[in-house]
Amino acid sequence: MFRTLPLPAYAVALQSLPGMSSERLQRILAVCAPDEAWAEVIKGTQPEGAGNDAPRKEGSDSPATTRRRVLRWAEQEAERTARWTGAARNTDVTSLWDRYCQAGIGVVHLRGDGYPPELSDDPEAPPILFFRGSRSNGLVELPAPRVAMIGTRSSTGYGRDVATAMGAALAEVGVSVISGLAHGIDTAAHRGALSAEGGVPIAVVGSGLDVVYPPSSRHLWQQIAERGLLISEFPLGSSPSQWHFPARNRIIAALAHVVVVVESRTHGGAMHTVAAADLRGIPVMAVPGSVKSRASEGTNMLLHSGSGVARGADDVLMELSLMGWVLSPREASEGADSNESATDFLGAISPVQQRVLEVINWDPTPTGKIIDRLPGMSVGMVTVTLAALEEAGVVRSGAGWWERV
Amino acid sequence: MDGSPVTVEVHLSNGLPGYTVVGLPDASCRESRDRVRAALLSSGLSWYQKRITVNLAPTGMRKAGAGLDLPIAVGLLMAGGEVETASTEGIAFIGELGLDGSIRTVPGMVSLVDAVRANVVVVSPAAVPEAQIPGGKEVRAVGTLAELVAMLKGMKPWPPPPRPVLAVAGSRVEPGGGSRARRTRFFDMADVRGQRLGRRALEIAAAGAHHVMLVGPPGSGKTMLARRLLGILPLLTRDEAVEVARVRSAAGLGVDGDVLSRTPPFRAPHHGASMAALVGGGSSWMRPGEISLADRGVLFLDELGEFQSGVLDGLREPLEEGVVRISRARSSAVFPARFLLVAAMNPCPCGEGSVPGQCRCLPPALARYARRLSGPLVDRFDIRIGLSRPAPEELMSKDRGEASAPIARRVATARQVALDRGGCLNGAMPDADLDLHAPLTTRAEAILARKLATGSLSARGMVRVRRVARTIADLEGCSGPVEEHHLAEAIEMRAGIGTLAPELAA
Repeated sequence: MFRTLPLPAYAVALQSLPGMSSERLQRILAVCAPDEAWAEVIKGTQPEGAGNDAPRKEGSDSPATTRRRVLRWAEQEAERTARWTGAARNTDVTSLWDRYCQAGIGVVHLRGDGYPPELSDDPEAPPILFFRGSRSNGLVELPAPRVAMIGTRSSTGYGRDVATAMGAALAEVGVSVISGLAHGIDTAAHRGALSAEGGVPIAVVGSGLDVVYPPSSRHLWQQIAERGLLISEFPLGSSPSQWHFPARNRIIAALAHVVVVVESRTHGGAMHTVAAADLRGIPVMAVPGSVKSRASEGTNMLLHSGSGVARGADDVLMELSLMGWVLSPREASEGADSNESATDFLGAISPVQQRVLEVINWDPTPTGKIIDRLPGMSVGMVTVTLAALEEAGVVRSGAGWWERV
Repeated sequence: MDGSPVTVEVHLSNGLPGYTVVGLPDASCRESRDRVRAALLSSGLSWYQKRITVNLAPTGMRKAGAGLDLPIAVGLLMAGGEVETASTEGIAFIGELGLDGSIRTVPGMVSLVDAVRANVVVVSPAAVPEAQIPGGKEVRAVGTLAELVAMLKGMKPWPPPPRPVLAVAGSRVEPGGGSRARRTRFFDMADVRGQRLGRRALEIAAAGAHHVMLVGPPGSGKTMLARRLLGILPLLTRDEAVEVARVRSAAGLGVDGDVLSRTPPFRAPHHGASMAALVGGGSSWMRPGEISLADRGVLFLDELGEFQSGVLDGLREPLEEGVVRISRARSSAVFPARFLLVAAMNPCPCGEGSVPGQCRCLPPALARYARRLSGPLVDRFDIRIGLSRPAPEELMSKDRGEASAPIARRVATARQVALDRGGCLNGAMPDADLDLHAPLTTRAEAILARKLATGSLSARGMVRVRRVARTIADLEGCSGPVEEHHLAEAIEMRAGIGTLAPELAA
């Protein structure tokens, strides 16, 4: 029984070959259609672009050395081709493809139909992309404009607040929020985006689309599949290996029109995304944070080196409007309202509350520190004042720490 | 932990010379043959070339240890006619024999002396302090078997009664490790600079017998604070001191000098401790574990997360019941275990995670770390606070904190108030008595309702918070309902375990 399979089926089959790296597949698909490449492999020949370049003679090499290296190279090439052919002849392309069809996952490949044009000229273009979501009917149209919101997994309440508010405000005016579904800022940004009416949230993940990672994000994962788009370059069943995440970050950067770093240390995943964005000339904005907060070290460093300042959604919308996207900022009025209520309360604050408020930082402050900073006040007095301030909404309590809001 | 008296019967008969011990002896009892024989010969007495049968009654119970050497030797001498049977009437003998005929002490002397029915007990001079603790028995200290025989024959007078053991008030000794006899100035709270939250937590813990968990990065003073808890606890009563001495004796630790210490014990086992070491156990000799050695005192578990989780879960029932029941195939024992548990640990593997944003650990690592502690165990801690490293200016500051003595006085007063009110300390107050003994003012109720509504406090957490709030009110001398500042402080005392298992914080 034989049926004609669509081209992406062969791309998936090529990806499943042993030792097929993303770069190699990219080279193959750049010059050759997947079904043709697959036919070559079945035949026992090497598809164009699959091999490594033959070694050249290097300056100091003797002719004998060069010959030895060329021979070794030819051996390796032949060995790989043989391995592929063996594997390919044992591969049932139809059943492999059926898995994707049954899972409701869309597949597009480089140079194929529906492959996002934003990525096709990318130097590190993913050879295959897997999609799941309301928009993934085989051909994917990415919503626009798109803002990537990224940040550290060990975030503070401040960072998550900003991410949620910004995500909501951007989604409200129809901006699509891209993130990686990791803990911390990523999750907060998507929560915000999902809380608003508009916008199509996009999540680019580092595992196969049937492997929910981190497991605690299962609910968010489903919500995004329902209302937005889940994207991965890894086949079904891929577990989240460590190297998947930097790879995933380049897709986040490449898909975004603006990258906003909410909170990040000076090193880490978010900074990889920033580097990837810089490489592609995509503007990077950073949310300023306390100079004492370690979670804001990276963002403050970016600001110092000239990144755009993202104090809120308005700043991001301004950047987008400079790029030609006209969006009406409707959320501005709401933000002002919430600020007003806090200001109202600050007017009615008692002297004792004022004293306590003064020693609480904008980033989490341990309760012990607050008590030690108020040597004249009893522990009971400090705690009851903190409780009153919390009720009024000017501070927030964590597990053993407090921060201003 | 109670001893049981053993009657030693010795029978000599004609036949092939031999020596048999019957009545479930263990290896060290059976070895008594060689020790007794050598001791008799060294003491100028003779060994009987006869068939010797030693029976240890009651026969159904396992006997362990060398404490029966002395009675066996005396029994032999009586059977051989060396000493008059009448001369040993009403005298109990406890001790191990050396090959030179010297009499040695054995573990568990306090319980053994207490258990024997005779009014006179002969022990080695080293065992006199322990032997005197139960009271009511005449203790005779005899150094060697030869002396004992001379005394039993009436050729030498019995030794004068030893000086009675006194409970010495105010004797504080260095907690944890080191000789208890080496009396040093105890760790004083005045040495702790800053850390008002930690100091306050210890005061509340001492006053209400609430278990404490201190969470903080390395260098935040967790151990320093925990060691100072001893100095603010009330001294033991005489009965309590006897109980403590009894456990120490059962563990073979003995009593130092000739005083009965009224200092509460402080035990700080290393986190490698096994279940038997911490909870107690053994096969033939049931040894009390660290939790029983800490009875009436403080059990300090540093690096709580490093203990084996099974061992930690073994603490749960003793924490509830105040005793530990150890059962083995051949024996079982009940040891007291009413201790104040103080645990210290880092907030996360990197140690910096007291507040979000400072920690380098990733969520899965944090989750793994938090999983080392079982929820039910963490729940037993009424007080859970986060400590942070003191600021440099606090460390350099010349003003010392409040000293232990005034704190100890407040603690004692508050304890008395609680005992007068409910007959128990607040940490052990039954849930049913909360509304009776710890009613809330309307405003305090509002705070509690808000915390429950936001989910930052669970129903079980609420009960614990109310107990702590009662203690805080007692410390303040407030006998009426619990007010809002008491409650707010109690909530804060339970809130703080940083990034460590925030889901357990409630």
